[in-house]
Amino acid sequence: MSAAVGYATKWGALPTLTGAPTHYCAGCEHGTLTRLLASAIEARQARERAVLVSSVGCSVLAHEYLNVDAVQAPHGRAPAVMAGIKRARPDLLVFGVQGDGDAVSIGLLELVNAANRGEPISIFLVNNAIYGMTGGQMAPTTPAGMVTTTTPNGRDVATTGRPFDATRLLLGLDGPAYLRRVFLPVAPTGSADVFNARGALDGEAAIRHAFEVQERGGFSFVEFVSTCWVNWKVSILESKRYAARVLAPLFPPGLYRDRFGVEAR
Amino acid sequence: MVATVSDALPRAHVSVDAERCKGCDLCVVVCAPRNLRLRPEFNRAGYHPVEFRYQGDRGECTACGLCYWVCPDFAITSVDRRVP
Repeated sequence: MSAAVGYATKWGALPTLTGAPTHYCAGCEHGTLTRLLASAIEARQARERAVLVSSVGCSVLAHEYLNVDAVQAPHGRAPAVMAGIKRARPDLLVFGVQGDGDAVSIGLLELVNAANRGEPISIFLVNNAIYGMTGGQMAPTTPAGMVTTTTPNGRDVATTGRPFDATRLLLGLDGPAYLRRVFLPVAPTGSADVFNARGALDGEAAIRHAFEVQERGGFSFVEFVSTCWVNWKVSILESKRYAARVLAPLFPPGLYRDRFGVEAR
Repeated sequence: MVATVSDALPRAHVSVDAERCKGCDLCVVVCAPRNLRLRPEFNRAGYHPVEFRYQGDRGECTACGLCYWVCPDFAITSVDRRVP
């Protein structure tokens, strides 16, 4: 799309996006992440060699929106499929989008072992602290006290354990080369009706760095703290405030490991 | 100082695809000068889409692009900057 006379396009259409309308709920971070992935793929000029492995959950239809080759893995098995593709074709840029129910619950074994082997793949975990697509059941990442359809009185940590921190689990392994957690939603500021968009800008940089680490032969993992206002049963902006108040202290954003020093440059 | 044609043009232009917009409000709340607002009319999907105004409640659009980056539905199709 060309700009009007006297104007230059600063940001415009991305060829890596197919343009299909998204199935995501209004204000969902999955949509934001799709644009960030497209932008990072184009920044690395990797559209022709990028392979998306989508998981099961709300992330499953990412191949509808990203104009790259894609494989849909069985529930939780995306890291194993990614590792296979990467071993067969090391020239490809292999990345996956997984939700917390997929990666941290049913697929934890694949995630941990792929990380432990240090497979050169990039995994992007969307942690919205709940099972979004299946109707709002408790996930391993659900904060204590949160009401879900399977914990109607709030999550009881005495019987269901404490919220699962995937990034710090992987930090205990020697395999991963790049571990980062980003707070992706718009975040409240001192002013009641102004939010900041730092998460989206940080997220784009984190994805570019994860791809760079993969091309240098390391395992990269970025966790995106996200929201699910429909299943949290709050308004869109209230879900962003809740995420900043409850999820950000529980899952502190930051750079957890950067073995190749890609953030320094 | 002599006013030129470019002085008369707004500094930036944001294009919105109203049919893609789901009215989630994210671009509205990240826009510091308040150049975006939800329209009272519905689009075909039944949402109130955003509209762009050159002059917001708190100033003029600076083409910062935050609305473009947070939009989950790619409804902010482009951010254009005036050529100096």
